[in-house]
Amino acid sequence: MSEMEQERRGTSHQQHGGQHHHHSQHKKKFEGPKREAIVDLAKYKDTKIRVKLMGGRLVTGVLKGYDPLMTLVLDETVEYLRDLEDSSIILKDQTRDLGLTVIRGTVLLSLSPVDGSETIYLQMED
Amino acid sequence: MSETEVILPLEIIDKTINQPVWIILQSNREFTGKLVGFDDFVNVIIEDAVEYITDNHNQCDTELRHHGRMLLSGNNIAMLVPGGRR
Amino acid sequence: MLPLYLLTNAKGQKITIELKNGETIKGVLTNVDNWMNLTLSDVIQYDSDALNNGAEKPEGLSVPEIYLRGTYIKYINLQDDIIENVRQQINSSSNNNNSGSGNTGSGGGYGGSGQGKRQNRYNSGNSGNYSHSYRRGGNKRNYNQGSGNRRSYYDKVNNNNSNNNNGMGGYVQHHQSGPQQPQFNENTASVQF
Repeated sequence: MSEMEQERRGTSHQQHGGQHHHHSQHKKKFEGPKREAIVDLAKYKDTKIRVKLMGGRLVTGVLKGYDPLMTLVLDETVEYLRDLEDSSIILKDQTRDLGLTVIRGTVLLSLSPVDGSETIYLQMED
Repeated sequence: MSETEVILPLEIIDKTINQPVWIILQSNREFTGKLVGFDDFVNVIIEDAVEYITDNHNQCDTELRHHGRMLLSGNNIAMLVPGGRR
Repeated sequence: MLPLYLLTNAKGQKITIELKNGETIKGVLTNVDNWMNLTLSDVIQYDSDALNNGAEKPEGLSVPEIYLRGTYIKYINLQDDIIENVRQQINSSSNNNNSGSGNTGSGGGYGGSGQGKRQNRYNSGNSGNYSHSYRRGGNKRNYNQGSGNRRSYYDKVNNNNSNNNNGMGGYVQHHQSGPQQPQFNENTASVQF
């Protein structure tokens, strides 16, 4: 394993070294998409978040933990149930309590804080 | 210390080994059973599973009992709830 | 012009996204990654149908910030002038760098050695990915002994950013052409839209 580790380090170093020059020149002006995590879940820790999942489920809960794959640990998880006829309609008043849950990062579609979010009424734009 | 520390999801799952677990798929299917094991893809093995096919997540329609062990592909798993179904 | 580059350089702009479930998200783009996962701030989200069907009081949700999976995006509406802006950014950066005539040189070499590099990166990235999964598998056996193993795994992940792809579609790594940026400079053809 450490051998593999070495090897990977070596390659990464090479790559970096070889292209570092150009990269640093351009970094400020024009940047490429990021490979590292773009959201720091630490800032949501112990706060309530709203998570949408593949398949249409919607849950809220207090973020207790996470990993780099965005697997989440939510406490006091509440799932919002959906309409009997049209499962795309989420019923705000029908919920079920799931308690402490682990949510797979692979099925996570969107994540937003509950604090500071509010229902608004849209105005027709044109 | 442990208050401020981040809980790692896989550790939570690990702690529920040999305990009842409730597994909610992306679809309207759920399973409960005793968690036997899992891997890093969260493929899961449960024992004496009960399968629930819910009616658009609102009422429980069908209950299927499976004896022995069952391997659930992590692909379809959305949520895991330690402690079983409520 | 790669779409992800356009998007990355649209940070700070107001964009509109339609998701695969028909929802619309409007907000200020704050971050983009390699898989088109996005973060937005000052967001409003609503069901596109609600507007179109002329519901009496179309409801939406205003959220301070949101994270979206790239795979969940149907399309993104950018500001009209974005392409022009990004092109200007590119041009200005290429002007700054044209003093380095090495640019043209390396650009010429791009097809040869540059390509080779890309190939390298792609391969090594991939093998990194696999060994990464296997290593996790290997760790699992031990991690009852304490969080030590896991934590070291994270540390590795963090220290090894160049090889880190967090498993979310790491196979699209060939999009990651960041350091090859110079190709835009002398190949003006590639910035034609």
